[in-house]
Amino acid sequence: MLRLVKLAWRDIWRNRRRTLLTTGAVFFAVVVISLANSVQFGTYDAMEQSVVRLTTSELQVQHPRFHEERTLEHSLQEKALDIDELRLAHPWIVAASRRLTGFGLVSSDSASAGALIMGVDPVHEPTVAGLLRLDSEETTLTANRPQSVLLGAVMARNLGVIPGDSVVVLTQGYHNVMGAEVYAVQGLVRTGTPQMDRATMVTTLTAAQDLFSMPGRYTELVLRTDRHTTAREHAMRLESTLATEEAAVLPWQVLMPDLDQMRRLDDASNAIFYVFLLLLIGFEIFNTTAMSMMERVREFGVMMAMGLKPSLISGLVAMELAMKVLLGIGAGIVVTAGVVAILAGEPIALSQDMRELYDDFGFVVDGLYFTSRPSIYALPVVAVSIMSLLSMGFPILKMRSFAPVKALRAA
Amino acid sequence: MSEQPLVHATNLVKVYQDGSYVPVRALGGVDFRVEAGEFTAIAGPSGSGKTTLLNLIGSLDAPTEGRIEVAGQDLSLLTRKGRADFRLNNLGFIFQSHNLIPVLTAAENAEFSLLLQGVPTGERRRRVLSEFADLGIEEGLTRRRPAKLSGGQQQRVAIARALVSRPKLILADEPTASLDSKTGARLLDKMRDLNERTGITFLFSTHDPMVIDRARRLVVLRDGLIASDETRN
Repeated sequence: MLRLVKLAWRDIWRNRRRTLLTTGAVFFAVVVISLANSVQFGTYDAMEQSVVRLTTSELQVQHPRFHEERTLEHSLQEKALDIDELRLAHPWIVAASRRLTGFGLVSSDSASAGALIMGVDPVHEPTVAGLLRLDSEETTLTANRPQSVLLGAVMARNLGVIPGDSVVVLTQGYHNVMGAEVYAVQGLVRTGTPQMDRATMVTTLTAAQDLFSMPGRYTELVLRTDRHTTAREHAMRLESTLATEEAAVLPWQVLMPDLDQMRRLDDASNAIFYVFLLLLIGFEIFNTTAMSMMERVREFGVMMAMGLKPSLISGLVAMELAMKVLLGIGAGIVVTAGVVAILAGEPIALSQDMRELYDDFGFVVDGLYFTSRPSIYALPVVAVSIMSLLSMGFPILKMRSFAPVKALRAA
Repeated sequence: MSEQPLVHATNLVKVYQDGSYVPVRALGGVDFRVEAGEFTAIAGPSGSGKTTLLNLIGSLDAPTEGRIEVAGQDLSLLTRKGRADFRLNNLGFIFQSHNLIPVLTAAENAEFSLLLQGVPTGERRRRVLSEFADLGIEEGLTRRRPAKLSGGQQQRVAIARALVSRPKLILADEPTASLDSKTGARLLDKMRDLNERTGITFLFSTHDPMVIDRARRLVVLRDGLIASDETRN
């Protein structure tokens, strides 16, 4: 076996140029796809994290029907879930905060607008989402000023109000109890998401509970975890341990399906490019395998005459191919890992135009991020390996009909 | 003539029919025996069926009709894998154009069949060096690849490769055709000497007078049939 490996190794350097061509093609595919994956995964991770941590956070515990049917009847009791116990049982929960979300009509002297009314815990909310974690003191809600609200910047403009003005809020609360309240506009919220800035009003959880006539109840328990990429796994794990069946755990992919779908769509369009590239590489691998086989027909005939079994000759050709492909993959991974190691620490800054373009889509992205996680190599390595396995089919099939006497007659 | 010949071919017929070409009858019903220890040449003009007969005896090809036994084994009963094993353990081949594996050194080429037989490294090396010494291959040549050897040196390595596993029968197809007459004569003398010393059977396909002169039995084929079969002293 060792001698066959040695023979295969020498064989691949018999035609150095062809070996370098095959190895180079594999190397090129691995480097291009791995680097593309690295920047795609890294930048998407950064974008998703920025959006997730601005609004929904990674996980939310809700009434099982609240996500589909956003009515206050599908709310939770504060006493039903103990936040401290949850965090103790699941150390990956970094922070938690309750929210009460309902709808209402916000009016100024001159205009009215429908609004998503968010009641948040002013102390804990900044630890789970970035919505209120803005630098300006104007946007800091405190429990001391329960009659104050923050308005989405666009909404405030539409209503013609500025901080210090008052707005009247009308709601249909818990069990259809009508609610009405006058609030002082304490500050404005600019989330970077036009839809949110156009129709959001934020107040304290207590004020919202009063407004909606539902003391001690809330609609979402927002959980920040250590990683947004493992949200689905965390959601399943947490849900299986919840003490009450009246609660469901939703990951951000469910809470913001558009964001998840956008990534999948992008993945699909990239996949088309990768398929073309890999097909080219596949043909190159197949071609060189066939060539290296066809030009040694006589030699294989001699080996067979000497008693080498056809299966061992197929194995020899397959081994040669595996060596070339592994060389290409190895070199590709080493080079990519080096490049990624340099770029991972220092994202490539985006131009102002590009940032604005991302802003239009609601993403807060300041650069192209590279990730070094091993999964960036998975696609090229698996795909090239499959191509190689398919190419190995040629010598195996060829050897089935290989007659030594004909091979010995070959030029 | 002994009861159990080394090669026993009965009514061998070989018809080649490739695609739409007219069938070619290379052998037309040959009965042929070779006893162990013979040094036999099969001669005849081109197209007479010499190489075909050698290929059939070497289990490299199958007859269209007839039966062939080598070393007591009916070749028609063997599978493809079985034929490979049979060749490995019973036969040695010497080809016209040496056919050494270009990426292996002279010693590695010679020990190739021993490697396939699973002979341990030390034993392989010992037998190859002994064979090389017998054939006059200098030690300095053992690590050279075929491209760095002369035609005569390459053919000597090819003979060593055929001999080193001590096969029962060596089939040599025009072994001197690519050599100059002096080198060819020297190698033939060496092969005859080996035949006398070790009793290994040699069967040549040739139209080289040097081979014919040295053969102790001469079988002449013409148009796929044995035209004459002469044993000499």
